[in-house]
Amino acid sequence: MIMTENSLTTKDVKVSYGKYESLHGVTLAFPKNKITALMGPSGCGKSTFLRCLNRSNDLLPDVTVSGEIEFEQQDIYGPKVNVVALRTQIGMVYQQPTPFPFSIYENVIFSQRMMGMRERRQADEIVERSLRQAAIWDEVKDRLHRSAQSLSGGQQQRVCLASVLAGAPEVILLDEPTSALDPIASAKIETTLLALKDSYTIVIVTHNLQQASRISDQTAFLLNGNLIEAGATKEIFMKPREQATSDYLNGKFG
Amino acid sequence: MKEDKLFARSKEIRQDNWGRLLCYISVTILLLLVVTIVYFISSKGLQTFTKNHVNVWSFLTTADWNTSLDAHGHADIGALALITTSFSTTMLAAAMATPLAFVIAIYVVALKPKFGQRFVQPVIELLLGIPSVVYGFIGLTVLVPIIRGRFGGTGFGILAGALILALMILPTITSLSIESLRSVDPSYQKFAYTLGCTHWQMIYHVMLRISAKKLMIAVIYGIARAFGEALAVQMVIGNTVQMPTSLVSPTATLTSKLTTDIGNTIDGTLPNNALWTLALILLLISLAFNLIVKGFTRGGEAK
Ligand SMILES: Nc1ncnc2c1ncn2[C@@H]1O[C@H](COP(=O)(O)OP(=O)(O)O)[C@@H](O)[C@H]1O
Ligand SMILES: [Mg+2]
Repeated sequence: MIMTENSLTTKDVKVSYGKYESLHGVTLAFPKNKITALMGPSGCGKSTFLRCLNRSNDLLPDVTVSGEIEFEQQDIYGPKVNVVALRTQIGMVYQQPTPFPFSIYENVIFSQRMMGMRERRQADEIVERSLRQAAIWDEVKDRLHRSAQSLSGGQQQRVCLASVLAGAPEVILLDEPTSALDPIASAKIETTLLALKDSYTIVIVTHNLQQASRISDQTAFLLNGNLIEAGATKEIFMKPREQATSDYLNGKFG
Repeated sequence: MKEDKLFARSKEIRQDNWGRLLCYISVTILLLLVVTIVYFISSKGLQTFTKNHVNVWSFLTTADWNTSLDAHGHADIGALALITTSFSTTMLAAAMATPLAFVIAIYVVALKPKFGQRFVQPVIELLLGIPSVVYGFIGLTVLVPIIRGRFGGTGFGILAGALILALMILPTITSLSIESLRSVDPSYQKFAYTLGCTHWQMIYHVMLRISAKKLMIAVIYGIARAFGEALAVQMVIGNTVQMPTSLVSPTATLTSKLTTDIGNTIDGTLPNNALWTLALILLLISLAFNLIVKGFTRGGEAK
């Protein structure tokens, strides 16, 4: 893989919940405009690691994060960081789509409203652009003012993605965004992500090996809170360096 | 063999039938009770108009509680002063208690959940359990003298009544508000932070907005409670049936008039029937509160 500029880099990131250390030092770089897949069996620390990247771990009680995480060469755990702004720069999509019980329009424009956007025409434009980017405009354009919760799970997930995109992020983190969806809805999300990668840096946690191989450029394999190996997706899948990775890819555990 | 089993009357089925019967009986008793109460109050309350020939309209729109009959056997009796005082006392109380209740609820749910659960909530539950006569007594011995000293007059009146009612409904509205804020799905909070909300924005634009209807219902319950409260109000309102001229002029509410006079009137006479009419008005108003709450809840489900 030709290494490009990195958007995010982590160095020796450790996370403890209370006294119990769940992540034992992960060093990884996320190249700009690439998709990185985080793989590993359930409970290995994928979500924990992902949550460090936009400091949403801060919201959980009793979490300590150590190590260095830099976003565009800035330490995101530094004392002067505006965490609220950081979270719009590094957006996150969760496994279970949870749009607010508001209209589709209100959901998508929400982050802009929080930043003080009042102008009607500009809002309309942002909503349309974000829904188009999330590949759901055609399905919802006639019912923007209906409740987002009236949509199917896959549609809700793409509306949530649109809400994140409307905040104009640089990086999009996705935590198993398709594991609650049917294959067709999942495929739509995958296509959407591939289209988005020209403009965004994407990190996706996935259980689904095929999904990782289909869409990611870089793959990282975690096991029991350790990063086992990371590299170009093709290389990881074709000739993994570590026995554990190979076992995982062959379905021996997880 | 198989058919035996299929058609056998098992013990479980007998139990099931018994249980069902018991439920039906209880529900029937409940319905009978409601119907009886409504019938009793209505038939008594309507006698003011049917037997004593008081005009319904003038009963509702004049303020003079004059139970003596004129030469033609007609009476000029009006409940407007009572209705006005009841409504203004209640609304003033709600206006004072609601903002405070919301702030406490937000504090307990969103700002200091641990402290809230350990300290604030037990206090609220304690306040909920204090009998109304105690509130009335506090009003009488503490509040009324303060108001007298500060605003002149006797100290009795709408202000004293509203303050005591505000104190009484504060725990009601607060605990219901806490419940409604708690019922907001935490994943919405997570989503809000993801979309770049500050803590306060999350509270205001997500939690309050999502639970707005339930919060309204909490306030209506508080109002309903204030409206029906008799004892504490009676102790501080002054108990003179006259149109309130200020917040500190002695007056009376529907409930305070009822509790003050019901023992001093003779069954079947106009003074007694008129009190039943007050009871009927109270019943209708509480029915109205119920319908409003129903309307809100229905709207909530539709969304
Ligand atoms: N909020 C939390 N509090 C305490 N322990 C947690 C919390 N979240 C995750 N953990 C623990 O951290 C480890 C990694 O969890 P997680 O990051 O969710 O794994 P994954 O996403 O790979 O399934 C697990 O052992 C889990 O029990
Ligand atoms: Mg996870």
